[in-house]
Amino acid sequence: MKKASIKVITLCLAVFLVSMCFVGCTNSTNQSADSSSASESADSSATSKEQITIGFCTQNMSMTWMQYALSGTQAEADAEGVKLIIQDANGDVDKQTSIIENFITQKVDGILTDPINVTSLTPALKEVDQAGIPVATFDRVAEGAPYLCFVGSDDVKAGAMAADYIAKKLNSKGQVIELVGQNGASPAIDRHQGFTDEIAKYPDIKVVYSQSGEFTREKGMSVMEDAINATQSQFDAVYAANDDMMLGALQAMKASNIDVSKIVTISNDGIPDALTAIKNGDLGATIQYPVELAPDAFKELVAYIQTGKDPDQKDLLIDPWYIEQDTLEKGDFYSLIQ
Amino acid sequence: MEKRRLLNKNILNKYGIEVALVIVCIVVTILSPIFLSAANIINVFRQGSMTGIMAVGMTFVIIAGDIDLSGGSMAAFSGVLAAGFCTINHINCFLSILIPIIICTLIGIAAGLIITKAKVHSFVVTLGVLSIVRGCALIYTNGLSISNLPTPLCFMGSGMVGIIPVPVILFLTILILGYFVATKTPYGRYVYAIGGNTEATWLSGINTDLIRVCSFGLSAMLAALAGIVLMGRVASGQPTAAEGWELNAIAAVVIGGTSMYGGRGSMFGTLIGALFLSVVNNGLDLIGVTPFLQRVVIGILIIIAVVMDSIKKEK
Repeated sequence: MKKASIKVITLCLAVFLVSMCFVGCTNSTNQSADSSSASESADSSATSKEQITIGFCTQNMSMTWMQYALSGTQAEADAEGVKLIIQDANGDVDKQTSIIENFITQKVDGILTDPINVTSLTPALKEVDQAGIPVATFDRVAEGAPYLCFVGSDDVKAGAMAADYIAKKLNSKGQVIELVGQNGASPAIDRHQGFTDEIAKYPDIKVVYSQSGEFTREKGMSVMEDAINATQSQFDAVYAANDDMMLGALQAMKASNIDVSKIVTISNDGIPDALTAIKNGDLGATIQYPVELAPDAFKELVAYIQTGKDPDQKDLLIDPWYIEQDTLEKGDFYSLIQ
Repeated sequence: MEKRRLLNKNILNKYGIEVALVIVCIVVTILSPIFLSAANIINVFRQGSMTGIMAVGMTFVIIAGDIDLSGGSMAAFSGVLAAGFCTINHINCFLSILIPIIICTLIGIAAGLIITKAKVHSFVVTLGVLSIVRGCALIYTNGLSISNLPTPLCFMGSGMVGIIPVPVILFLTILILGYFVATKTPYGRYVYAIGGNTEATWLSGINTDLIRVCSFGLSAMLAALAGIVLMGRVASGQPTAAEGWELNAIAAVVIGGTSMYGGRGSMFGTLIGALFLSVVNNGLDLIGVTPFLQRVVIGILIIIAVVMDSIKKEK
């Protein structure tokens, strides 16, 4: 038994360490495969420079929109021969701070990130500034932090557009349920602001229930279930600050035997599942959250690192647009639902 | 021959986790040489400081044979209270930090009283406290985070003394104090005694209830302090922060060699355990492993540690 215990311990440790090495080797192979193909394209371009490394920290990879933003940025990085180190904060503000600190020690040439909360990343970004590394943010702002450029979308306008759509479809009269986005996230704050201010212009439209669905499908569904009970199914329209929440809400409505084609529905983002829902007639419309935000911010960052060129605009806001059943091809992800 | 075999087993059993830590450091350095840079080692301590501070308090609770599941909620609660007192009520920074710590300590003491007087298992009571305190944090803030904190309030989380971050200094100081209390004070001795054999300790005239209540108060106090550090790091009071942190603290304590059955353990072990977790987290980040896989790895480590602990106990 005593001899066996040493063996068990050693075996466990050995298994663990071997798996760590394996994981490490897999990642190095992936990275070296990327860099070897990237350096080929870099050599063939006119200016052959040492490969640039960008640290990319997403706020939550389990959000559909974020996955497409990432793949768009990766495609851009591959095209320009830039190495991308990707880390995900999984919605944890402390983890995001730690990831940024680690980027500094890894001496990356630039950082591209999406701050979870308006102020949560500010101390870390101040450290990045002191280390002399340029930072580009997209999707969400970091208040009070030094940064090179921000690429976002006019979310106040996006919220207002949702209000106008509902008002038009309801002939300026009816009851609305609102699913607000994640607490502390700037798109959620702005969309809610835009929506509330615009809907106030229609005195016969009442928002009868407003709660946060945390930008997730599960929470959107459970909040919608509560809303259906609270309003006793007396509502005419639903606005959800993102498609994930709306898809959850649609499921909740169907489960309560509500005919979704009779309810006016609109949400933000324009993810493929939403386009499919519009095609099927379940969802009324979505407002595109341009997926080019991350690649655009990436391009500005790389241009600055390579040539010292300052971005044209420090804060670039791209206008959102409607996508309805007859204008599906305007969706950024239209090609994905073919 | 017999002597050498016993020596090897004793070293591995005694220093098993330290050896494991060194091996992990070597492996990580091979895969990512930047791991051994001064800046990164400082980061390892800094990023592990909050779990470490919480783990010091947790060590006392676990050695005494109890458990405390409310740490994460306490951390979030103290963070939002401090943020709110300072920005909304305009209380000075010092009191804004001190009062929430006191409040959390009192809640911990209350939990300890329920556990000892009503003779209920600490698992269930602290689970209830986890829920209540988290709810209080959400009620206090209406679910929103409190931002725009003045820099002095964030000193404990993002301040620097020279090139050493304040959380590192706090962590090491708390650890040294914890070591002192555990080994050189009567309270510390009684905690070990209670963990080893509660009945015998009580029969020898020691107020076991008081000692256990103190441990819960200490654990809550240090969890609150960890929350203040977190608030400083992210410059905001977040009611949803620190979810699951008590599990990290427990993992650090157990990996460090403290027995879940109570009566055995050391503060030095907690330091190694906390460092081990931080090195793995930091190392996996540097190597480029996704956070999803990181959670799998950490789970495996905890299981290995508990198995090793069980084997130790068997002999």
